[in-house]
Amino acid sequence: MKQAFRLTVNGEPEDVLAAPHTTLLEVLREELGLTGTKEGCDEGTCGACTVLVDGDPWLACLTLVGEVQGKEVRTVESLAGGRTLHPLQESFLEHGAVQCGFCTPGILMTASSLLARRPSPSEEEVREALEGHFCRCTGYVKIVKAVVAAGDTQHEQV
Amino acid sequence: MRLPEFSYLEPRSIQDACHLLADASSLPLSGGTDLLVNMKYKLLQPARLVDLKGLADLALVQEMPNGEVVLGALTTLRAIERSALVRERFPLLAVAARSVGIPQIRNKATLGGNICLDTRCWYYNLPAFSRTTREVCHKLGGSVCQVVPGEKHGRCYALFSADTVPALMALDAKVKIASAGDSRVVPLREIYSGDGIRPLALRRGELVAEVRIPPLPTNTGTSYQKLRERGTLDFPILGVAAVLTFFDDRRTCRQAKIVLAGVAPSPFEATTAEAFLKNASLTPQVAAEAANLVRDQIAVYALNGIPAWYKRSMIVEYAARALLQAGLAAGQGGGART
Repeated sequence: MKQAFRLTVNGEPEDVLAAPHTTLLEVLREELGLTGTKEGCDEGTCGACTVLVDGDPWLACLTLVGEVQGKEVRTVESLAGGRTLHPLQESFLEHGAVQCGFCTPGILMTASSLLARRPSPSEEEVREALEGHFCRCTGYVKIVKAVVAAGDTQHEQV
Repeated sequence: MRLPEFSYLEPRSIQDACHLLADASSLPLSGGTDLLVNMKYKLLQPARLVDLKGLADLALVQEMPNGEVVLGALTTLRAIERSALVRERFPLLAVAARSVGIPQIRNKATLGGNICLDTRCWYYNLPAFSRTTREVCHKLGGSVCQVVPGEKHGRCYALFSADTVPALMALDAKVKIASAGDSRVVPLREIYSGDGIRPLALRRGELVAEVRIPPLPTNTGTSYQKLRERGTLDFPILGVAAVLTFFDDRRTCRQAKIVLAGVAPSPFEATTAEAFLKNASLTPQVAAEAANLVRDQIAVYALNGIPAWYKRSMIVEYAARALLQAGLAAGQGGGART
């Protein structure tokens, strides 16, 4: 039976009518039309569905809609401001860090959480932070470079 | 993969939570990072999920005046891994927590959830469709075992796979078990049944509320060594926790605790090796002998793609590493205490 859940997604309050066995991933993609977040393995091993919950990367496929009531959910759609891309997105374009693009939204979210905590992470820190993401095009090297470079850019701007 | 239907309950007090869990069709939800996968696989289909995350008292990390450290069951593994108190006092627990899953899982998964983790077997942990090609096994209510064909006694060999538990047991941790009536405090080992089918010896309506770790004696070093297929994500093929306390000479072992995950349906205490190490002087040769004793005490089965001969040799290797690292951490050979 459907229930009302009050969520906050990308800064906006959202009242969602959903059955309690609905995952956050299903709500984002199917109820709210936020299809930037991808469904990969759907069992917590690939990282494609990663979103931020109160600033921390969580797997939306292993999160129930009820579990994020009262919490702040951020998806890849929140990164760009209008037509201005987030420094991470700019850096991904510049470094060719996107191949098929399926893992990209999840990686961007984890990387943005890392940069919020550590504005200029080392390559080692970036690799550690991204260890929960599969890129089946195996483009890891450019992804890591792009995140490190975005950190450097951000640092110069500060 | 859709989850099966259930109703979702959010109790605000431990009493209410225990009351709801007394119903046979209820299961507790903490981080849910393992439970929800098992539910997607239709291994578990509870009518009601009781979300414990509204019980704010259970997410605290506290140091008591007597030096005991209390970790609430809802403390996330990420919080354990990052806690300055845990890293300083019980470094092996921070290492063990850090070795679980991936960062996204550790941000949500809890210490209580890891303690109550279900046993694992690659014939059991499969999506419903993939299970249809084989006969139903004991853990699923059937009458065969795929690991030990011909097993007549209904025994299940699924492995205990929680990383934090060997560390906690080697630290002599106790757990507070809450229920609708009185709560009780018991040594952590007592909540494990040894049965792969139902690994927890908790009664219906009981839940693990907190973990209590006593202060370590001086001249003590700790280590957690984990073997897994990849550098991240995987459950342990093998996890070995060692806590060694030395006399003031920092050579002679006063007390040894060695606990393993990944070798039996419950955490395994290597008591023979512990007794052998008492009053022994820890050298690489002694550590190797003790590690052989650890292996000899365990009945190893080929399981989850790991041949028995391989696991036996890795038990020796990882137990020896854990002992020598714990020795170094205790300041043996002039090493720093880490």
